[in-house]
Amino acid sequence: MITIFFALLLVATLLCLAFEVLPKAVLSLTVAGISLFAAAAWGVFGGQAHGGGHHIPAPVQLIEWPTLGVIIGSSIFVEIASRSGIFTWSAIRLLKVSGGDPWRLLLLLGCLTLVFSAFLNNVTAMIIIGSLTVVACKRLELEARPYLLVEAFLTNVGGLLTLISSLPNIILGQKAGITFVEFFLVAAPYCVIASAVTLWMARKRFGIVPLTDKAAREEARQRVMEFDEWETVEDRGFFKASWFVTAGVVILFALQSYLPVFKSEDLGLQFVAFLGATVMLLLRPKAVGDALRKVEWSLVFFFVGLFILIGVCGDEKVGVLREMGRGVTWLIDHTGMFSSAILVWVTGILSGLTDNVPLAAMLSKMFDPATTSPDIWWAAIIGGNLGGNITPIGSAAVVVGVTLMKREGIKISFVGFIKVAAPFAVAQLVIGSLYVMLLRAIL
Amino acid sequence: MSRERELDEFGSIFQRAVVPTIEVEKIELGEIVVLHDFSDRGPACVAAADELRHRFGSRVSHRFLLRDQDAAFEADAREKLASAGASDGEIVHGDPAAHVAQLAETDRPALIIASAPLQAHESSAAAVVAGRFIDALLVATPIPTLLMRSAWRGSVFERILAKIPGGRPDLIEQFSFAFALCRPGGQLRLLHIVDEERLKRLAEVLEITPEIDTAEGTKGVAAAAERRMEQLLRGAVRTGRGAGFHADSDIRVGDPFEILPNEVLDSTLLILGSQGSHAEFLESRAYELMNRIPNLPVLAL
Repeated sequence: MITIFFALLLVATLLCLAFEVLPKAVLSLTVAGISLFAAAAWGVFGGQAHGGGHHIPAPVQLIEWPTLGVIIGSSIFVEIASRSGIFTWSAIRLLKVSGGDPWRLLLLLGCLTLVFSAFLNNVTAMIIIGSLTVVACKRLELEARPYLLVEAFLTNVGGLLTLISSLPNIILGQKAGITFVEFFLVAAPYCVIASAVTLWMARKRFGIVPLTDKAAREEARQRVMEFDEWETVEDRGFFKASWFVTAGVVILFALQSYLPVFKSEDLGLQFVAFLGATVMLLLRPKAVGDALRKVEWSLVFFFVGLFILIGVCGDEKVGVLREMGRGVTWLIDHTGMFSSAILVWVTGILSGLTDNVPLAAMLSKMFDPATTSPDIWWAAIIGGNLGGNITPIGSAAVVVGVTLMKREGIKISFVGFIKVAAPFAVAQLVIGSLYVMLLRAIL
Repeated sequence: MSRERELDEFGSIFQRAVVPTIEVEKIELGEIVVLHDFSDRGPACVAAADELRHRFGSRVSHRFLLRDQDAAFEADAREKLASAGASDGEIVHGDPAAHVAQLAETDRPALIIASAPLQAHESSAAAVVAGRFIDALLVATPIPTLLMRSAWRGSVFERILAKIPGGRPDLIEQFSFAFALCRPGGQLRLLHIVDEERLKRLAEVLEITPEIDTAEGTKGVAAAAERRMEQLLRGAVRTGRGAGFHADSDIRVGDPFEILPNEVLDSTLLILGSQGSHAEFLESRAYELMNRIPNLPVLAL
């Protein structure tokens, strides 16, 4: 009875998320409240909620604090760093390197999307690059649609590049015990291949070719040279300092699991994220109010509610995730060498239909780090990231891309988007499937 | 912050980063004519001419205009020219106005430097009528004229304030002179003043065009002009950055007669445009403005 109740609650939550019945944070906190009350009434928490001789309330135990720490710390860090102009400055520099050639522009904006979405959240990356794309395309008299679509598709690929690039990575990667460097080494080859294929497909699909006429090349070059990257930088001292701090934070993220003290379980990646945020705040102490306001608190509270719901569903007495885990285990056991490839598609399609965060949270509770093979974790990570490319509402970055198109008067319907996006999403998932099968063989 | 607002914010950041390249003309000061009046401003005229000669390789000629023959006065004038550092200067006889016309039509120097106002002399054969000659000079010739209006010490090209007119054909000329004259390591300030009086006049014009909403029309034209000017000034500042001096720009809204005197402060030179026509300089607000700011050297373009 208790299992059925919570299973229904979980399904209803996922459906509500898919159809955006309520704001995500409101929905998840409501559901968390219901699940806590029901669990307490059924005596689920009896005798569990104690630690170190002190009573720790169940909700506190159920929340994945390290994940929240990484999200909040990174948000503050990125918010202040972006004020320095390092991202806008880099974006314009790269635009100028393209010389205004449509094909080189696509290549470089694609690469930039990959890098930005690896270090920023995907939405911020898409907002920065998409905004530049719109202005640049106007200057160069190019159609913005292909560029915005490719960027939206690549934000989700770039979201795979590092352990902190996306929420599913943080949730699943931390649970699987994958370090920052390990994550990058495994993910980077996939990202490079998937990006190259995406760009090649875009060239074919949208007919984006290099300029061959010398006069046209020169005119395009002059038009992009009218961009002045320094116009986006208000304080050069702060700008330089931000580069140093950003580089330092990336290095610390990379080395955290190897450095003494930093590798302590009591610190972890969240400590590095907060360290970066604190240093940036010391550089710009007056920005503290704005920076804290710009943390996506609705996302944080969405997580809080979600962790409680998933935590309760994962409890032995409730057994929802245990039963779902059995189903997944059965699937894995009966599909042999194709198990991880199939999991890429299952998670990909599910994350295209509903939010990929609860999916990742559920999978992280279903899989046992001690017994789950690495390719299964990677299948869940890759599928969870890429599913967002299937529909125009599949991921927040794609939504931003579509919004920018609408603002520019570019009409694209739901079905029209799927027609364009599906080949790209399928190609990325096919490559992902082959890649996890390869990982199965070598890891 | 909502995504829409973030999109607006970054959109405007990148829009702002588009800075038009200002193609300034290369200014060559092949010949410079210095008109003397033997006042205490003389050495400043000579110093400015010398600096330009050194920087531009110009030929500099010094002249004193004398209406009538007067041997005694002429001898005195030669002595004064020599003591002003212009011993090779010449005394030109005849009608000063005719000489200015000749300067404009035949000699066509790249720049005239004049001690201003050219003072009257006590001699009966006095060269020119005080002040009025400068007016005649400015009316008669489209040649850029540097008016030394005080016994200036130091380089006049150290801290330049250029009052940039709005959307006129001589805009580029103004940028070009400002960039050419500013010393390496110097400061150039480009100032555009949105003249409220002019906007009112525009509103009056719009009033007789019923198809245009007067208030909106004025606002729209003013806003568009301001945006364009802001871009042009940023483009000019960007060009200036590469030219070895510090450049900045500002747009102010209000009455130029109130704003400009407060802006010149520590400037060593004010560059004023003739609002499109040099011949109209005397009737232009630029000329009135110049007279509101005494002593500061002015380059009238």
